[in-house]
Amino acid sequence: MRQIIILALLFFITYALQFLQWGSESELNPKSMASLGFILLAAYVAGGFFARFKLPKISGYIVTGIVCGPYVINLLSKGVVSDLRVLDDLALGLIALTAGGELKLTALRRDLKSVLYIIGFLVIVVFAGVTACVLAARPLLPFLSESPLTTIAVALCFGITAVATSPASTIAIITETRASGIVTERVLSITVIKDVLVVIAFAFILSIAKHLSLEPTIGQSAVTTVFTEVAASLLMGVVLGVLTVLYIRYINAEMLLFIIGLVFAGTAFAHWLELEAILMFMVAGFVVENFSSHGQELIETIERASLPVYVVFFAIAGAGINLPVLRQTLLIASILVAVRLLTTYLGTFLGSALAGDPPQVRRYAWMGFITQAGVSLGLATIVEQTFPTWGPHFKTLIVATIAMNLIIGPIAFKVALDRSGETEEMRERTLTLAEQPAPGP
Amino acid sequence: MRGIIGLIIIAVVGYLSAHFLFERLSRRFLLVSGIEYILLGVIIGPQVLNFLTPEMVTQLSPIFSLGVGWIGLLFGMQVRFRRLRRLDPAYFWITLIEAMITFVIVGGFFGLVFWYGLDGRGQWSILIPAAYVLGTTAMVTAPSAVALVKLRFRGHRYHVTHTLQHVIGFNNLLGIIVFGLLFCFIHVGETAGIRPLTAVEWINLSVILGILLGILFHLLVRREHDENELLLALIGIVVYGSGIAYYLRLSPLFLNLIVGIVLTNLSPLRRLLYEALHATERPFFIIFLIFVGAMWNINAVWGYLLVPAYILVRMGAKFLGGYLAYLSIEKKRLLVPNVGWGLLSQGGVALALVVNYQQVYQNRFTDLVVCCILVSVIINELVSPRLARDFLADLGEITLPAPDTGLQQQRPTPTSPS
Repeated sequence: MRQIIILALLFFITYALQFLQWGSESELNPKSMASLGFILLAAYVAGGFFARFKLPKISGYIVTGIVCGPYVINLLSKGVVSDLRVLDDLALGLIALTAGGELKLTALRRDLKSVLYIIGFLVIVVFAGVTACVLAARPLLPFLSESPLTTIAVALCFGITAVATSPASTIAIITETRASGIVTERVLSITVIKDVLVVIAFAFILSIAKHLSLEPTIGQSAVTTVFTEVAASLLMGVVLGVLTVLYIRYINAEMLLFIIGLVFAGTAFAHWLELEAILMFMVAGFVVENFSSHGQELIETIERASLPVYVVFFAIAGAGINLPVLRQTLLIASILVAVRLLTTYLGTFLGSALAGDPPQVRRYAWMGFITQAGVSLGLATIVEQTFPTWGPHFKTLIVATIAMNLIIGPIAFKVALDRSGETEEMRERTLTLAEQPAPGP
Repeated sequence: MRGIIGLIIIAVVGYLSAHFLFERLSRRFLLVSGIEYILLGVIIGPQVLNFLTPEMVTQLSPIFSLGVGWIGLLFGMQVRFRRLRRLDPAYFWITLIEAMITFVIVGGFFGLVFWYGLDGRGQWSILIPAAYVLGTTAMVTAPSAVALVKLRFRGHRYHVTHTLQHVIGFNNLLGIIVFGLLFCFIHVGETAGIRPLTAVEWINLSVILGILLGILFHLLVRREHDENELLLALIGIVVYGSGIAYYLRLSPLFLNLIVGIVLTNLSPLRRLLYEALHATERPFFIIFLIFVGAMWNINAVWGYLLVPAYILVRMGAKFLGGYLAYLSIEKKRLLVPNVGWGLLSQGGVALALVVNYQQVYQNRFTDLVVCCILVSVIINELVSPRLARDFLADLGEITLPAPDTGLQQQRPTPTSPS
């Protein structure tokens, strides 16, 4: 309560001071800065508050973003979000580097069968389930045209977008809970690999959708473009990874600055060449972790800066949740989310059961594949741009489902890690219980 | 594409040069680290290669301003009243005399230069800030030169060295406070809906805001012991304080200094807070230095013409101030008449002051004042460690030649505690 009163006071100060100064002519946008500062403090409080209820802190950051965002108190307005875009890029780069760095080649080799089985079933079941759901729920989607082919095109796009998850959220929860174990490893490996495959599969689906849709489309051969993008991103990721290894081996000074510079430079390159920045940095992290002995240094350096970065990233993600749209599309979005949850469970269960995974993977791993964020939003944006007739409606609905998954996903994953006993807290508790002397007769 | 290349240059060439070239030069010629980053900023900034475009500088301004606020907070966190009470009052007296004499002489001299030489007659709103910032940046002394000499050379009696370190610490504190008052005296912008505030009201507002933020922050984190969480909250309060200060056209350095003073005197977590701040100081400071270089308008020709005068007048004022301070104290063992040799280093605080000035006071004197101060800082950083070394060696407080102690890696940062 004390902390909330303090935040209210800070909020009051922010507003009251507007009457003391008129106009802001400098290049610097002081309002964005004060807003960012307030959000960091609010996220700190919200994170602590959520942690008290055994919920992930990143959910607190997301809620902070929603509350401070343009649809509630408007402190994190669209202008401020735009000013903070550069920090968002930095956050995504650091998160992707960590995700790649956490992927161990030896573990991947060992678990390859399970990983491939789960990915295979997950992609097929979720894609088929959500596509079928959209086709069945056609009356609830007024923007669909009379043409059945276009409806199929829309349904396919929904299906493939539903398969995407959020590596950023996964890595943030793992970092926050300091989780380790089989569920953690499996979820992380699958999330990272699946996202690469989803981007490729999306290109195929988009190409099919273009042929099916009778509406006008924009853009050229998506398949070749995406293949080129993915290949170039992988290559660039290897180059960045090798550069990082060389830097650590021969210089090894000001590591944090080097990483920040690397992320900015890499992101700029990715924007310029239209590469997948997240994929590029994941590969870079993967190279450093698996082809040098410096993976731990990389991860530790990033972890030093990770908390403020996560806060900015997830608060901006929260602020991006369009509440009016969510309200308008609540019914159909809820149905889609429910179907996605069900199919995610089914796909993961089938894959892990056939691969012979231990029970905790079968029971809990699916909860790590719920969160959606940047990748799904990126795919929805491509659909919006490609199909100007129904694309914007598609994106609106996808944004609503992403919002719901963004709220549910981190909580579900934290619960999964807790129940599988892989969070640091649960491991310590188990250890303490094991060390306690057995009760006497 | 130019931006991309610029960023790559920051990431690769900057570190390479910083690590290899400057490290060696520093070891050999006793240089203070930091200048290389300013020069790097100049080269890739809008004035030379324009790799780091003005838009990028603007986009990254939160990090930049965080650097300014960080410096203020770090200095504030070193002002513990309980510890200050134990110090010899002579240190305060020496600082007051030396710093104020330097401020008055340099500020007054350049006030006259602007008035008569640069057609600033009667233009008080631009003349006073320009002369004032030259005065305050002349007043402050970086701890880096003396700290570097102390690190590199073996010493035995540290009477004057200790005095220098204390005086430099107070000097910077006084510099930030005096500089903060400028924003209240010559306030830019208008108030909305109410009458314009007077200078005293702006001063009160700055102090009250700083104290309020400090108390609120203390209450917010008083049960926090996780270093990462503390760092998050610290970054939050510094960015918030800096944002508010910039919004009101006050000094974020001054406001965060007060926040720091409140925190260090109130919070039982002071050690944890200081450690969290200190541990992340260097990356912030390096980014800050690169941006300082990038924002420097190197074409401000008059700025270069002012540099010799600025350096000489500052040097003269430091010597006079030091001499008068020596005359005024009873404990003569604490000081020597030519203590000015040890007070010539400028550095982090001077840069933060000039950046703060540049962000708020935009007029025809701004570029030349910024140029003059930056060149002076660079020159002083190049020569002051050697001057300080020779000065302390002459006094017999350190021994030459230097044994290779292997301490070169511990390069001091501009806010190293004195």
